Amino acid sequence: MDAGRFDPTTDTPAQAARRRFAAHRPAVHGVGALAVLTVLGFVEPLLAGPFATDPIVRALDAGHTTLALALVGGTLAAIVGAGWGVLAVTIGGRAERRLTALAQGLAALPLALLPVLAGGLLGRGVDLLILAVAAAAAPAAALATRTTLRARARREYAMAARAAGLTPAMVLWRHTIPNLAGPLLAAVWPVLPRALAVESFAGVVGLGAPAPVDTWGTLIGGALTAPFGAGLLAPALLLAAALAALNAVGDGVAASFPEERP
Amino acid sequence: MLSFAARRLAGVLPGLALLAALAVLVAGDGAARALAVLPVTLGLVGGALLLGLLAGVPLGLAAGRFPHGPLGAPGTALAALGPAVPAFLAVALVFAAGRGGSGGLLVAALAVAPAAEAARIARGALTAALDGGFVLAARGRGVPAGRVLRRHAVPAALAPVVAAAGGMAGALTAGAVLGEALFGLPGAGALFLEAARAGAVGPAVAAAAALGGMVLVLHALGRILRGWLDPRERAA
Repeated sequence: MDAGRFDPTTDTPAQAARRRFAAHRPAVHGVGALAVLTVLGFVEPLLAGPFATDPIVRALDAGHTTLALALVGGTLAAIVGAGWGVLAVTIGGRAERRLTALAQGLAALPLALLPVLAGGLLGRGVDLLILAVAAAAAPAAALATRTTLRARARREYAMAARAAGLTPAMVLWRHTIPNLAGPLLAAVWPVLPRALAVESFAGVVGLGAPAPVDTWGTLIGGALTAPFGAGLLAPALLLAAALAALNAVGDGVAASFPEERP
Repeated sequence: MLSFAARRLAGVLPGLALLAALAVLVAGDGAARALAVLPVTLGLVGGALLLGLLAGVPLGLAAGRFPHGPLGAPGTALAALGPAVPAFLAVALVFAAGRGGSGGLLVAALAVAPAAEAARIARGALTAALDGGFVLAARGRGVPAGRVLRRHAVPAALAPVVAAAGGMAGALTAGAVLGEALFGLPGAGALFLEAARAGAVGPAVAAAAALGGMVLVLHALGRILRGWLDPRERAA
């Protein structure tokens, strides 16, 4: 059977989504690349003794911290953004338009500057960095959530529930959101690579995670001031690989929950 | 079309007014200084955006038209590269490779990310347009394939690319900030970074507001261009 096709006689929607994801080769490779980056971070302590100052070992060591910061900041942004989008659709009407316009206005700004501004003016700290990264990524997540909810709320099951007398809020909480867990995951997934890029940019310009915490961004920033850019290539390549992998996984998640009816 | 453009520009005026008020309140005279050096950043971002679109759109359209042929391979590769190399990373790599360089080199480095994004969007949009009902209708009426491509499919594919230009400009701004600092260019980005590193609230907020205003205007221009290319956008 075609790997991407839904068969209602044998597949649950979750099984079909898993099969679509498995059929998306770049996404599977992305999961593999992220797994390798994570495992290499565990191997690094074995090398740290004799090669502690080696740029590759330092970049591997910084991997866990970088990915953890991006994961925490991105997850916070996804929660805030999804809540923002759900709230807008739940309220509806003029309030929804205003909340959406606010998210659109903020998302249009160069929010990658926010962690830099926060680090420079309020002092460098991991908690502040995470909050600033989340604030930079949340408006886009809110827009994606709202678009997904609006596009899928017009489905027949939602109309049937409305016809049965449920209020819009009840339809949203009882029917739409349970059916939209996958599409919402696909909608908010891009906050993870966005959070990684924003956190890394703050590190590159010297206003990211405070010393002695090393991230790929801070290592790249340090290498830019070293003679011949020594030590730049390893963190730059690892950052590029992680961004590519996260984006590929996001494409796979989106392909797992196609817009059309299965 | 003119009224559509006026509406779009009017839509960003409240945001611009808010940013201007914030800059004046926090920075006072620093707001004027940030505005005075903004053209340097605008030149970098605008130049990189233009170069990126000029390079990425044809490659993306070729990838959409010939998805499995050698003509489409460069566009497919560029589109795949895009997410891995944000503008600031390209700037860092180019700076480290050459230990400095000219403004032209910086613009070229900044153009990599928008070129990749434009190629990705153009490829997907042309593929969707070629499968669209209006292309099928035109072919059904006997319009030659080449003319359908030029008159219908390509304009429809270009519309989402130019609409995304504002978002690309936003992403480019981070690269421009780093690039100005590394290459020693006296723009709003360098001013922002210098002020942020020094903890100077006024100049930092003023420069950030100037950069934000620039991106908002580029956003509006992108939406206007989209409306020019796609009548459905004007009707929305």
